[in-house]
Amino acid sequence: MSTSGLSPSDHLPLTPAVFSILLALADGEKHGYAIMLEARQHIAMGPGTLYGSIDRLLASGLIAETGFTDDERRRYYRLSALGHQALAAETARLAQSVKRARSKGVRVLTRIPVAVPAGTPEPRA
Amino acid sequence: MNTPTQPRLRLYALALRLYPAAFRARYAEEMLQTARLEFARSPHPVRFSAALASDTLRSLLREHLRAATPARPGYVAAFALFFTFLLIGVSVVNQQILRRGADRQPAFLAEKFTRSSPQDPSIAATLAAPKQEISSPAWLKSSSPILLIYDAAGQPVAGNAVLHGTLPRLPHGIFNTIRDRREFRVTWQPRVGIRVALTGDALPTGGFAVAGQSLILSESKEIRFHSLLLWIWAFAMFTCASLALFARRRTRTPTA
Repeated sequence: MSTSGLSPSDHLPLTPAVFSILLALADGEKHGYAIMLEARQHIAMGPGTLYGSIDRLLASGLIAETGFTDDERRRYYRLSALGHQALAAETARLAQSVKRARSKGVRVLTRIPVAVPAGTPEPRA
Repeated sequence: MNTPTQPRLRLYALALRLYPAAFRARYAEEMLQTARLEFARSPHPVRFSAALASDTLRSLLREHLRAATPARPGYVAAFALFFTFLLIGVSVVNQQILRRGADRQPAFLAEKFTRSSPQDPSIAATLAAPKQEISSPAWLKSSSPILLIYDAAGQPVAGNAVLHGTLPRLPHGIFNTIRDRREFRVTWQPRVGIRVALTGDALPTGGFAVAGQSLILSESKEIRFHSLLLWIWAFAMFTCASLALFARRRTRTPTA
């Protein structure tokens, strides 16, 4: 069901997994595995979680499918206009939260502990 | 889907068959390919397998819940329709129970008169009792039965009730039906506001014994029950509409 007629604020707040997927697609279209590698820098994610989230994002019109690779095993996804707006709105919302936290003297950690599932490979630089 | 040679991935390929059909058809190939690439890069195959199993279990549960949630608009509409027909069924059954309940006392009285002799003390006492006015609010709101005796021509002979001061005359069709079937149950409405459950039996002498009871009492119980059903229906429809809106909201706002 496409809901592209909705405003971006209807989708807020985004879950960490959804935010990570949208952020991974912010610089261009990617296939599922590439999304997972990048999203995993922020949040633990296996294939089940990844494709379940992708399916929901497609249904809500935040991302769109662009096509297959030559071997027809990998689908590519890109942010829709609504997805771009939702990502921007969520980033603004998070920025506001960070600003408030700083104004209250919350110290920013220099190293962020990421809950990556044990045994999963480190993302390549 | 290409069958992997690695046993762990073969197991994962089997687990992918447990996903809902539509999800599996669309993503299974890519999921297996992703797992294959992950496995090839993983420095700890055992830990990788544990993480993959955990992710698969959680995702399986989530996708099945999503596929089967009763909050889907189609399911909600089907449930609303089913519930509406269910309540209509309950209403009809209740109506029949109340209507048959109103026939019970008159049927007993008419049958008793038919089987006993007119000299039976209880029958004689019934017929000799002060006559009840059928159109009076007191009788209409009561569950007190009446007994009326008619001759073979359908003319009133005796009875313990009157309508506007005289023994009530019944439509001749009623007597013809009683004669054919030996017994007859009908709702008699001599005028608006008077509704009587009548039961008639043919007498061996050729006459008819007709007993009756006001339907007002059972019909007011029916109205009260219908009103309760209406409230239940309205509450169910409100819940269904809320669930449908909730389902719409959930499809709008994806969660991982």
